[in-house]
Amino acid sequence: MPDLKLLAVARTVPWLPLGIATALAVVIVAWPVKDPGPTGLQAVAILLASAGGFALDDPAGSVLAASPTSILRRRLLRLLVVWVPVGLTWALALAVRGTDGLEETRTLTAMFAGLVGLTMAIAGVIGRRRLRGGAFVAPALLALLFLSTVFPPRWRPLPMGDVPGGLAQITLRWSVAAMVGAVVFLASSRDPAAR
Amino acid sequence: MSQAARALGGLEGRRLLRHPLFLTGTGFVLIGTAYFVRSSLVEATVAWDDDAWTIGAGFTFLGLLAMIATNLAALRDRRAGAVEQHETLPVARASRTGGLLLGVGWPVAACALLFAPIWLFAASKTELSALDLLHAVDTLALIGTLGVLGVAIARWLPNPFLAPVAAWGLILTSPAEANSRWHALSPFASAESVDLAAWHLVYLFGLAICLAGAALLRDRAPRALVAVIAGFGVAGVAAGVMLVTACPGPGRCQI
Repeated sequence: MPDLKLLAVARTVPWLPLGIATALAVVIVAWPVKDPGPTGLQAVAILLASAGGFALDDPAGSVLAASPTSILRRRLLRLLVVWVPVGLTWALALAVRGTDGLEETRTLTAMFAGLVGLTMAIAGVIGRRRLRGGAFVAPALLALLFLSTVFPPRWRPLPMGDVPGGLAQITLRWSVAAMVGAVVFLASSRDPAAR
Repeated sequence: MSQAARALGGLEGRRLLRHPLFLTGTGFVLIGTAYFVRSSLVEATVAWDDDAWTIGAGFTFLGLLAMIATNLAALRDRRAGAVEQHETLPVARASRTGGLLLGVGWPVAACALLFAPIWLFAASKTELSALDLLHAVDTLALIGTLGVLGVAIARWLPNPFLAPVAAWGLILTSPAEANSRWHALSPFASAESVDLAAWHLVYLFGLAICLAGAALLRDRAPRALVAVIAGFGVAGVAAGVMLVTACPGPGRCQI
C-alpha cells in the first residue's frame, strides 16, 4: 500500500465551503415536507458539487508545481480526499430523504455525477491559470445550468426537470455530462511543461 | 460619501461591467430578447406579459450573476491575501465598501441602457401598460438590490461560496404558480396590480438601503445604523402593505 500522505493533503483543502454545504444539505434533507419531490435532493447535489469545486484550491500549489509529482497525480489525490466524504454525504442524503424508486435514484445519482464532472472540468480549466480558482467554479456551474434552460426540453443538455423520454433521457444526458467533464478535467491536468 | 469612495465607485463600476459574470448575464438578456423578437415576428399579436417573460428571466439571471460578481469584487483583497496591506492605506475600509456599493450603480445604469431599446421595440409591437413599466423599473431595482446584497454578504460572511448559495436559495424560493404568503416577500415576486407593483418597488429600495447600511455597519461607518433602520423600516412597511393587500386571508397569495 503506497503512502499517499492523504492527511497532509487534507490539511491544505479549504473545508469551510464543504462544511457549509453539508450543514445546508442536512437542513434540506431534514426539512419536513408533505410531498418530498426530487427538488430537495437536486439542491443538495448542486450544493455539494459546487462546494467540491474548491478541492483543487491548493495554497502550496506554486511551490509544489516544481516538484516531481505530476499535476494530475496531485489533483487526483486532492479529489480523493474531498470527493470520498462528499460522495458518502450524497449517499446518506439519498437514503434519508428517499426517492420514488430505483430509477429515480439512478437518475439523481447520474445528475450528481454529471454535476461533479462539470465542477471538476471547470475547476481544472480555471486551476491552470489561478491557484485559487474555487471561487469561480460555483458561479460558472450556475451559468452553465442557466444556459441549459435556454434550450427547449428536447435539446436541453443539463435537464433539472422533465424532458421528452423521461428519466432514461435525463440519466443519459447527465451521464454524458459526467464523461465530458471527466475528459475536460483530464485534458486540463496535463503537465504544463510536457512537450 | 467621501471623494475616495466616489473615485473607487467609478473604478469598481467599470470593472464590474467588464466582469465575465456580468457579460454572461448580458448574454442571457440578449438570448431572452432574441426569443421575444422571434415571437413578435412569427406571431400575429404579442403581449408583454405572455411573450416578454424571457427578457425578464434574462435580467433576473443577470441580477444573480451581478450579485456574485459584486461579492467576488468585495472579496478580492482576501483572495489576493492583501487585507492587512489594505488596512495600512490612508483610506478607511468604509470608503472602500462605499466604493463597491457605488460601483453597483454602473451595472444598473448599463442595464437601463440595455433595456431602453428593448422597451422601445416592444412598444412598437404591443401596447404597454403602466404595470409593464413598473415591472421594468422593478427589474432594474432588483439588479441594484442584488448587487448590494453581494457586497453585504462579502462584508459579513467573507466566503466566496456563500453568494452562489444565496443565488440558488433565491431561485428555489422564488414564486411559482401556487404561492404561499411569504412568497410575496421574494425579490422576484411579480405583482399583478399597479399598486402592488409600486409597493414592491418601494420594498426593493428599502431592502437595498438596509443591505447597504448593513455592509457599511461592518466597517463602523458613521450613519450606517441609521441607514439599516431606515431601510428596514421602509421595506417593512412595504412588505406589510403587500402582505395585507395580496394575502387578505389565510392560504394562497395573489402575487
